[in-house]
Amino acid sequence: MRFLLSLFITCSTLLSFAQSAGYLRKKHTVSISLNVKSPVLYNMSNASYRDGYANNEYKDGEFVEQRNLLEVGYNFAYAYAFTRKLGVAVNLSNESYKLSPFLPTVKDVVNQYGNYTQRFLIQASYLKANHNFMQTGIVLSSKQGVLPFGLSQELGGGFGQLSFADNNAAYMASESDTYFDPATNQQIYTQSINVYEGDAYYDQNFVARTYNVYYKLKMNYPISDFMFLHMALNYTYFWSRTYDSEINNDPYRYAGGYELLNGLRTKFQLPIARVEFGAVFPF
Amino acid sequence: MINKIALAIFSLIALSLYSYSQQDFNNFKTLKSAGDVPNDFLMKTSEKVEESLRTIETEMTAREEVKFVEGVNYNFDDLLHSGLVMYGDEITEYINDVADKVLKSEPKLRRELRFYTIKSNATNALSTSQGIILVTTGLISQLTNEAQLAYILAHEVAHFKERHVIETFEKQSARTRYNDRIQSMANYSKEKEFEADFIGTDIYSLAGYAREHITSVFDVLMYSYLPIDEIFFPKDYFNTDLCYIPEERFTDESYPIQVVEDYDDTYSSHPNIRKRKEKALEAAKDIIKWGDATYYLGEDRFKYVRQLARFESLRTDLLNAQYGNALYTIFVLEKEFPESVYLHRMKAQAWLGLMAYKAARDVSETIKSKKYWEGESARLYDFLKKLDAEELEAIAMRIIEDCRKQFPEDKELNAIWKKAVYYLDAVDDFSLSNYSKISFYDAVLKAEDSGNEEQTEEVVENEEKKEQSKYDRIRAKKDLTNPENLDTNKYYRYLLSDLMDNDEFLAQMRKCRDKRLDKKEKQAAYDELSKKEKKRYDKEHAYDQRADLSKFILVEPYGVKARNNMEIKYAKTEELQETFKSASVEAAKELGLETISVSKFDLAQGGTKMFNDKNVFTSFLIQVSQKREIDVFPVDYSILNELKSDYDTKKLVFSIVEHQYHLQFTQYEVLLMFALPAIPYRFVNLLFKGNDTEINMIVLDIDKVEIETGFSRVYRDPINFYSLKAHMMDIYNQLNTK
Repeated sequence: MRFLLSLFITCSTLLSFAQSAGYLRKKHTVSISLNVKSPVLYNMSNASYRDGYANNEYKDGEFVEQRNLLEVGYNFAYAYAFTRKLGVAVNLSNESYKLSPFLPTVKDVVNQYGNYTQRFLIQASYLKANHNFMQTGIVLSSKQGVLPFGLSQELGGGFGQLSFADNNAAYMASESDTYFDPATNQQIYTQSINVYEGDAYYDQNFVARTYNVYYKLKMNYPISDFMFLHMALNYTYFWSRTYDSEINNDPYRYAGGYELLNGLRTKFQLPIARVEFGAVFPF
Repeated sequence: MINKIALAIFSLIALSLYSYSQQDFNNFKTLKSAGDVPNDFLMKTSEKVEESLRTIETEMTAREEVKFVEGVNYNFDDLLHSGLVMYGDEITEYINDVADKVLKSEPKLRRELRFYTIKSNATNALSTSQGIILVTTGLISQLTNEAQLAYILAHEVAHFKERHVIETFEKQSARTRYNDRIQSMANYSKEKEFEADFIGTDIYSLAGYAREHITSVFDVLMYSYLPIDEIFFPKDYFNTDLCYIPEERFTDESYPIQVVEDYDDTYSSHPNIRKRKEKALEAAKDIIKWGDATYYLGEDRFKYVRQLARFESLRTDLLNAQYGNALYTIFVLEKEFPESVYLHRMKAQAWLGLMAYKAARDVSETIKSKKYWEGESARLYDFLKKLDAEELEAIAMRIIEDCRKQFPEDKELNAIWKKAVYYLDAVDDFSLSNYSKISFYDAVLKAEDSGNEEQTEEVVENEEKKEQSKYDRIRAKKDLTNPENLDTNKYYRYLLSDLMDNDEFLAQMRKCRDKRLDKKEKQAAYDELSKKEKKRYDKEHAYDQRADLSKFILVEPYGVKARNNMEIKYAKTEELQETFKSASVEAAKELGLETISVSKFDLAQGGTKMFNDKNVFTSFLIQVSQKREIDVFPVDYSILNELKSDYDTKKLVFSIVEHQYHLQFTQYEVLLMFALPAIPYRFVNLLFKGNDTEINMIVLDIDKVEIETGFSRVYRDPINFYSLKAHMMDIYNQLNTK
């Protein structure tokens, strides 16, 4: 923060003689906007990313697959235009989404002769993830544009934290016996039983620290002396330096921190483009 | 008896009032509109379109009908507000009075029609589907009697009556191959011309005008490309006591008038003159009853109106930098009005214009090119074309000085004179020491005197010469007053003799020189700066290019909204113009700048005065836009200065916004489509960047007679009132000194 402040002061000093900016002489803006992203688009390009938008919901003793088509968040921002070409912006955002650590997974047990003896079907419901993050960047107006209105671009980075609103996700492991039938040359599975039915398997206090870089192409379209319509396309790339070991990994359960972390990283890399709609108030 | 006396008194009063309102050609002022602003100028084009669509009856599809009505109304309204059209002035009144005579048997049709004058040197009249008929001053200036005007009006009325504009559009819309269409349109248009001549002849005859004037109308049209008169241009035209131009400088070559009646009209919209004459006479044959009127409104009034038109044509030539034509027109007109201050001003302006264009090496643009030289004016064009820079500048300075001498108190002539000195000084290698302090005639006299004295003083002189140093002899060779150096080829070096000892001239010369050298030095110093230093210098001197906009006249902010293919969206264009005007005014208000808006949207409040003022300002802009690098002298200098006092500001602001939305797909875009994450970016980018908005603004200073500052901005935002207001605020901020 100290760094940002000093950057702000340096820029202000350097640019105090530069050309004037502002919308009707107003250089500060605050904005509120909704941001919407769709993980589906990216899944189209790579089937393995299906994990990113498919969720399991535990309902009446069964897991039902859901499609996570749109994810909505909100965003508060403050921006200041030093000149008609250059400004800074600080964004505070929140996003909530459903995160499935993994989709139904089959685990097979093989005996000493190399034959399958048991198969476990492991299923878990989604977790509600809550991601708060801050982004700070410089704002550059388009060619001959005038900040803070019109078409501009924003470039910067930030950090945030991700936690789960409800750690008690449903979890189930089903077991079935199996043998090889030489007549049909197939593996035969017999009746299956649920070996475990229960709740969460993660640390209640788990918080992932996230980092991001972003690029935003935004349009502030003035509709009155006091308000702009705000539309933007925001590309944000998140990453986390959380490790498997940081998540409480219960050895007695069939799935643990590794899967969660994997799901989280997949999630970060999927819907990197989000669209923002909102209102901006210059002052 | 009492009635007769009353009538006589009334006629006398009417005559005296009429005489009182007449222009004094010695102090001519360009014509102005008068009376209330007609509805044609007040109504919004969108309203006219709506009304036309309600009333029009055509065989077109609904879509074509909209296209036609919009096209006609928007283009025509652009012409009405171009600064060239007049109403209620003396020429328009005359045209209306003649139209009353022409249509006396059709009062209903007369009420439908409105006649206006357009200040243009084209010899033309045109009618529109809305019932407006425009007649050019160029046409009036070429006519020889009222009956000819009556015939032309009858022809245009026939076009309107027979709905030719609509029918031609219907024909144009028919889908045929392009080449076939041109040919078929040319034939179709010719048919319509014959028809208009045929019906026009009928209307004309009903009005009681004489049959014999019909063919002379076609002569007027045929020779209209020539100046207003064919008068021999003498070789000694420029010669005065102080001005001698050798006769050898003028060509003896004759340039015959080459036009023939039976020219090839295959691709022309009008039939050739021979065919038109024949058809008109054929139509005339069928008419049994003919009148014998040449004038209903009197010959004097016709001649007076034609003279007005000729003075206007001269102004139009100057406005369009056609200085060759202007000088020949002045030559013709000054025979009748040798004491006219207006003609002197125009003459001085024409020569000043030639000086300016010569300095910019573009003088050929201002004189007709050789292939169009025909008749008596060719000698003048030939003379002007052959002048080199030094000759032209000296002759111009001489003539401008003579004009000023004749009217020493005239502010306009004094302003022209000052500019002329500036251009004289700007000639490459110009030096006063190259010019003689005695006139060419005095130099000749001196040479003759010295010839007589030569023999008697020969011995003494030889002795003196022996005593002269090398440098004395060089000086003597360069001395133009020395009879031995008399050379007719250097005649122009004797043209400024009276100015050589004129303190005012010398002081002005010094001022111009100091200014020019200072500018040159500054430029040289700037060129030597490093890139970084230049940047710093530009930043420090950014305010030098600004203008004081604390109070200014905002003249007709213009807007154009176009489609992807640059096709104008008419309805949106008018909306944009109104929005831009309001945004410009609001932005100035927000910054505390005082604005006086002079635009077509303010005419309801501003009335005819505003309309006239707008036309004067627009003319100034027309002149300025002829050639960006040339500082023009406003043709309406005196009126502009009056308006400066009226509005209490000397700043004129002209602005235009153009907007079009076009998505540009390039190969690069197509390639990016394969990079999936880039799709939303490209989509949003294209969506926004499809907006192409350009604002241009210039500030003209009436006192400085130049573009004081200008601004151009291209940006990618969509436009509405608020974004325009914000941009205009920013632009004013950048241009204003305070």
